[in-house]
Amino acid sequence: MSSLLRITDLSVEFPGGVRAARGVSLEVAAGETLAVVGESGSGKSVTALSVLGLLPEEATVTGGRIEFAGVDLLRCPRRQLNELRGRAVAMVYQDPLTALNPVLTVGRQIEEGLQRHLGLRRRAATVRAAELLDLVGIPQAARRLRDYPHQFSGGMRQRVVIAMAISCDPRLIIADEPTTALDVTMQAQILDLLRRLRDDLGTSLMVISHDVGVVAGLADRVAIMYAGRVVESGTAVELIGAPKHPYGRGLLASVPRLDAPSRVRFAAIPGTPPDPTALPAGCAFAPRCGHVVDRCRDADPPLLDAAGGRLVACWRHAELALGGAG
Amino acid sequence: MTDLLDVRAATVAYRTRAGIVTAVNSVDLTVGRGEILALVGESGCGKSSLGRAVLRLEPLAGGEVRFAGDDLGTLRGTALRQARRRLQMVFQDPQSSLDPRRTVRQIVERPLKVHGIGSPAARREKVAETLDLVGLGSRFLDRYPAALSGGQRQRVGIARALVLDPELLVCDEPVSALDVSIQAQILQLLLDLRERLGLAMLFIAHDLAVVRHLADRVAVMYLGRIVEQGAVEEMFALPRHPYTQALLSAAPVPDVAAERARTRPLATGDLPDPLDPPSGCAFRTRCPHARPLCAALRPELVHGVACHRQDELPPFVSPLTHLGG
Repeated sequence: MSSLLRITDLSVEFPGGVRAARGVSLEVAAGETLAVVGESGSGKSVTALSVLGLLPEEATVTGGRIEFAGVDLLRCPRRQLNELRGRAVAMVYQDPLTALNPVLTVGRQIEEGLQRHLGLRRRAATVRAAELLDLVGIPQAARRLRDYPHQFSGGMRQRVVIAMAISCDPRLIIADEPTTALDVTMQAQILDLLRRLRDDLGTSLMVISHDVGVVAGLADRVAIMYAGRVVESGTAVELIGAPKHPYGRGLLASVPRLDAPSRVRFAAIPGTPPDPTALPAGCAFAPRCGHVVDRCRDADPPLLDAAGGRLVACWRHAELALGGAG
Repeated sequence: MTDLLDVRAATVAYRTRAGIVTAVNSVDLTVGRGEILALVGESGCGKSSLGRAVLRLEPLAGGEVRFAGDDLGTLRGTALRQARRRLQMVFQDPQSSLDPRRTVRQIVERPLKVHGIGSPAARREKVAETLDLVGLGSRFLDRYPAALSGGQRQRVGIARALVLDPELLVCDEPVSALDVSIQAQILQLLLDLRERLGLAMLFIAHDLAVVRHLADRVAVMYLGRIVEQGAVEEMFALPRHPYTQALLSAAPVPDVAAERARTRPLATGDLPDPLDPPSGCAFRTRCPHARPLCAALRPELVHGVACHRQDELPPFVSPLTHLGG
């Protein structure tokens, strides 16, 4: 399958020697949903923002390539990037308020994209905007076009942002923690909406999340990031069902589960993530890993094929799998 | 035996520009010695306001809070100070609840000083002992909060609460600001502390999976009222209020097969405006089982459930096929 988005060996640094992304490689195929999972500081959001050229000013891309439908996004002219953004690639943010202009009605904001990217006339854009609001489940859509963002609840605002994201029929939607700011009953509704829209429109989706549960029902493939690197990737079924990297195993085990018998101990990963300005020489997870050997401290393991389309960055994953160590 | 904490008809109201919001509306609850009661609900349900009212950080507009038999509202002077020692709070965000200009030693020692407890030497010993208890060694004594990770900061927050040897901790979302691998460390610490010290806890949370593995009993709040309460095992196996059912069925689980087979969400729409709550049952505007009676009459808590239709609801089937069985 050909990839729509291909990120190769991406590295991003912040001032003070913070290596936020260290050689990240990811692919999203047409029509596919990739989930990038990691905890704070893992580099997942930086990776997503790099695709859209939306990194904060102080960040520097120090290496790598990002290709979208054959276009080199890191080297294409700004004008071309702007044209792609909002049309072929759309973004859904964690906080819908950052994506919406507080002084414009939501109708105006949706119409703007339709007029600029699709060349619709004002009247046609208004009709289409109402259709879009209706599609994302906003009651009395035509009337609500005249409302401002603050007149919507958090969940309804996220629906507005999703309506804007799909308005120009994008090929890829990047959703950065799309439900993290929402309560659980609203989260369930937004996830249901994203799933339906993606299936109906055939859009590719790259979803960034700290919550394995949130991506479990959405993702075809999952990549787990830790300290600026992808440590493991594979199909959602295989990876979430049986993670191979010790960090992936620890992360999955530390999620308290509604469907597990209660009164088991909380399975924490000991220690804390490393300081991004002072990463250890070898594997960044080594200081917290229960399976560490000398080799792990000496050299950072590359992300290598572990059979069946799985990639794992761990020197010991094969023996750990054989031994069934958890 | 009397309950350690006995909250009766507690009401908390806020005056806003748009009118009066009753954040907590005539809530009764109890916490026994050594018991963990989880108070769960979504944002705006009043769970944090209730937690703060228990500690008298928020005035009661009605009702009373009894601690070990005494009405906290009538205690004055020394008696109130004594009661306050026995009742401490752990906050959600250790970042903003710790003074950045004080060292860990000063932060944890401060409650002892405020209450005039012990000689400097005795206080020093107590602080070191308490830091050990929360899994931070004495090497952390002279560090500032900025030099600590989120999990370490929350351990300091817990040490500060424990240094007065309280009998009840009110924990307001103590792990929601932490990464999941760190959350588990803090949750296990709280369970260990309960085991060792016989602490009771009022644990305020929105994450049902956390509650399932931590609490003895659960009270579910919606728009200022408790809609269901009961033992944790029973409630998770057989939630009886439609809102509890909606909450449980909405929570995602890290299981691909279960999530892909998920049916449409039970609760639709949004939380109603707290300034203008619905008549009758507050959940009726989102409830798939609502009838005209639900709009006409507010259901009281009967057998732990506030629902007119609790005896006629279809059996709960989780949208996650292997749950709720």
